[in-house]
Amino acid sequence: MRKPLPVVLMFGLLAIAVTACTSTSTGDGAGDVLLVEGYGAEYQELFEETIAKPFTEKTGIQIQYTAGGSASEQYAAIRASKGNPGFDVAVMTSLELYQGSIDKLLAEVTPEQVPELAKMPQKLRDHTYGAGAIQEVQQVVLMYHKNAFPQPPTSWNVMWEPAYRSGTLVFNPANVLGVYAMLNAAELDGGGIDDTAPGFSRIAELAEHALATPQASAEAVPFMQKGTATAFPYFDGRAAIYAQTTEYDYTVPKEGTYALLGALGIPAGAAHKEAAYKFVDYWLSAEVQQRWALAYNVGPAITGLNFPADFAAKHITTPEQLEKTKIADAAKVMKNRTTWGQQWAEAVR
Amino acid sequence: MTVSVARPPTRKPARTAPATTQAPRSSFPWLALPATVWVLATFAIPTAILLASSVLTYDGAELTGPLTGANYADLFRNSYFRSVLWDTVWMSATVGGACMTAGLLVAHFLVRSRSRLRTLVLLIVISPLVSSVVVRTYGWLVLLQDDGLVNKVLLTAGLIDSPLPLVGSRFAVILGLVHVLLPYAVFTAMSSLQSVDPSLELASRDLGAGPVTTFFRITLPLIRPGLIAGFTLTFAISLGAYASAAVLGGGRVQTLATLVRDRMVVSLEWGQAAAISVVILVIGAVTVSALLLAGRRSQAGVG
Repeated sequence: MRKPLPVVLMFGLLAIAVTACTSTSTGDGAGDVLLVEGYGAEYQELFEETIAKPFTEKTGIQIQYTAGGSASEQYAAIRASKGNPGFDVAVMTSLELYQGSIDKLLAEVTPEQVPELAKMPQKLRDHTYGAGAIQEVQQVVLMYHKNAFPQPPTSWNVMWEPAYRSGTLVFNPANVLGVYAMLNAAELDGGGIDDTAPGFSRIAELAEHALATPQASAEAVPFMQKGTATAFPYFDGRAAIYAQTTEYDYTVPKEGTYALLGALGIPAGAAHKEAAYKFVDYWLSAEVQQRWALAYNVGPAITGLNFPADFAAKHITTPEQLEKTKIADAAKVMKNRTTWGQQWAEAVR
Repeated sequence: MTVSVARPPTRKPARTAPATTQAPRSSFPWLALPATVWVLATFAIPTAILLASSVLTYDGAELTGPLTGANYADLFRNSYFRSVLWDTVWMSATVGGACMTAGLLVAHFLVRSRSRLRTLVLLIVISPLVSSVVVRTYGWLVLLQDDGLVNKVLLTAGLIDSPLPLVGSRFAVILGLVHVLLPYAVFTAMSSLQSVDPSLELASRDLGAGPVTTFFRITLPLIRPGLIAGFTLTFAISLGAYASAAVLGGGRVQTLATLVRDRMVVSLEWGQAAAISVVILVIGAVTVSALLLAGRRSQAGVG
């Protein structure tokens, strides 16, 4: 009879290896460590300096930040793990908050848990769906090459002008920037979120000449660095960064624009919920809101803060500006995303 | 699969293989157990869950019953899905064909040539395997951009007046995949060529046949199973390849793999994502089975 020892030994080693590979250190036993998942690149750098360090100094709670891709990818991770993705706070958008409230995979966030939420304008609170908090307001701006325009452009229509259309970027609606760009285009011809056909018609026309069809906003950076792009839609946070380092500037066209609401969500199964609520409350405090808005060049989620005039002119900082800004209906966006993705793909083929 | 450079052909007849001997029965059948468990855990179980996901309904993140064919019905009713399916199949077939043809030429050089460059060529062929597929794909992205090397060369040579929009084209996706998958086709073709007795080709030449006639009438029939295996391998991998389509397709070229990602992450339609994955699996399995059968018949015909 053969000895069973090698088999037992092999399974033992396998079990040890599996345990070693799957164990996580969340710091439960050695002080609080809050696991935050968000965007990478400059966002991560600014977060570490502007949010994480001061938060740790104030509360003693350590933050472990992980760059986890796009907001939709982070929400997909929450959904795949049924609300227990291994992190405590996700930096996402109001679209994911909406989906999280439907799926019941994000923890409830109310003014009882996050007192600063009470100071948020109602227009923004309406887009939290009780499943998180808005921490920044970005807007879709028209980024343009300063040398290509004698005067700053004033309308989205410049992208379709023969002189500029070969330098435009047509963003894929897999990225929410593409969704807002399409809605802006649709509204130029009388369409809108309920009638997107004019938008796709315009996209088809533009795609014949466009410089590229990016899927991520970071893909626009090389075109700005090389100076080959003429005019294209972009988010004001990144736009402000590259307005300082390249020959580009940005403006809000006269037709108006859509806002992207940056949001914080707490997965339903988060291990450190209390620390997560403290963290969200901290980010919504007036001092931190002002600091973050200036650092990332976005609008704050609360109004009544003082900003330099040149900053206030380019970002949503006042109740009047917020009232004028369009916010797309999350339910309609989530419902139509597949169809819009297909229509976009057929338009740019 | 042999990955060595064979000796150049000599006039010395190859030694015939010994008579078929029966392999001894393994004394350690349990050695296969860990690998079997591993395959079950990492392939069979997820595949079963995938199949279940495609015929059940998602209520949020929860799978619920009853059994339904709605995911498949919705997919095949959708003309966009059908066009992506067709694009994926023909692009994969083109990649398979290109890899098989180029692989045969390279393998023939490596096995039959006496050139000193053989080692260098082999290193070049292997090189895609030593770097990440993402790195290789981004390398092509740099080369194929409007101001990339390819367009610069074409412009300098006066072959084009303005840069070609290569990124975001099916050509770019096919090119990237051929580069990534060529080594597999070369190795299978080399393996087949090495098993062909060079004296058969020499006999053909001695009897007056030219090199082309010898290749088509002697060598090609003998290596056909290897070529079919190379095509099968590269076709099957291309069907589900994501990175090349996502990066070099520039958002304009959709394949079944990029569609799965969109359904999973962007629109959160996981039932449809599972159904598309099953479609990839079925096309791959059917094609591989058919080609393996063809390869076996081809081998039997030669034998």
